[in-house]
Amino acid sequence: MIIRLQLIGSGTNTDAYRIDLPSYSGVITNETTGRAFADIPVSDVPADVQAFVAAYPTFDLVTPLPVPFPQSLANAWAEHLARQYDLGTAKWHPVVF
Amino acid sequence: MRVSSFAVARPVYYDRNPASVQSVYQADIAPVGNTERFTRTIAAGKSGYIESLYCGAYRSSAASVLGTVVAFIETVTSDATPAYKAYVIYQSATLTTQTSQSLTSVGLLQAGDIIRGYQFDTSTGGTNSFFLNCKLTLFDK
Repeated sequence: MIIRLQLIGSGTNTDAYRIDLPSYSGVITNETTGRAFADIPVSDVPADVQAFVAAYPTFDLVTPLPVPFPQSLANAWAEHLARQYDLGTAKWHPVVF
Repeated sequence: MRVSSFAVARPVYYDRNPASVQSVYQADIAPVGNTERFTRTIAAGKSGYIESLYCGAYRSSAASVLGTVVAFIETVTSDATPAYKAYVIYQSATLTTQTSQSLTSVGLLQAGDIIRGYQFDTSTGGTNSFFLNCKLTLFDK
């Protein structure tokens, strides 16, 4: 599923622009606003995050979300990824942005 | 009662609950710093066989200040060591200058290993088309 996420990194060889997720493709970025669209495997996205994305659709890489991504959902997503990949909760902290 | 032998070989990888997945990036874009356009981390309990990958770029409009155009695909193993699997590069003002690499049966990834694709262009102005494609078969360990 396609989700608009926070872009991290600085675009250098050692700190590429990227999204803080283990698997995604087809990334379209706006380095100025720090946002990116990415196609993410549905199995990597918990149901409550999917519901948030459906409730607040995004159509460009500029317009801010009407509400910030809740910290509780961010934590739940990190825990979901930790279970899925068995690499701990410290590794990925994606943010719908 | 007939008893089957326990000495039965495991099914081949593509018969162990397989799933074909493709990671794709294709776009014609202005210059940008080093950007990760796809990544795939192998989930716990799985392995992944890299069936094929393709990495390419071509200049689609002229730059005002010429720079280096690069696209590459690399793997990262559990020891956090990245290694290029495909790499294309050019520095050319000629429209439709192009370069690409296509590879098949590249190798095996274990749980936690990563394959990812990048591109960047240090020019000012102009555009290039980039193609980063990877096809994996994921299967049970």
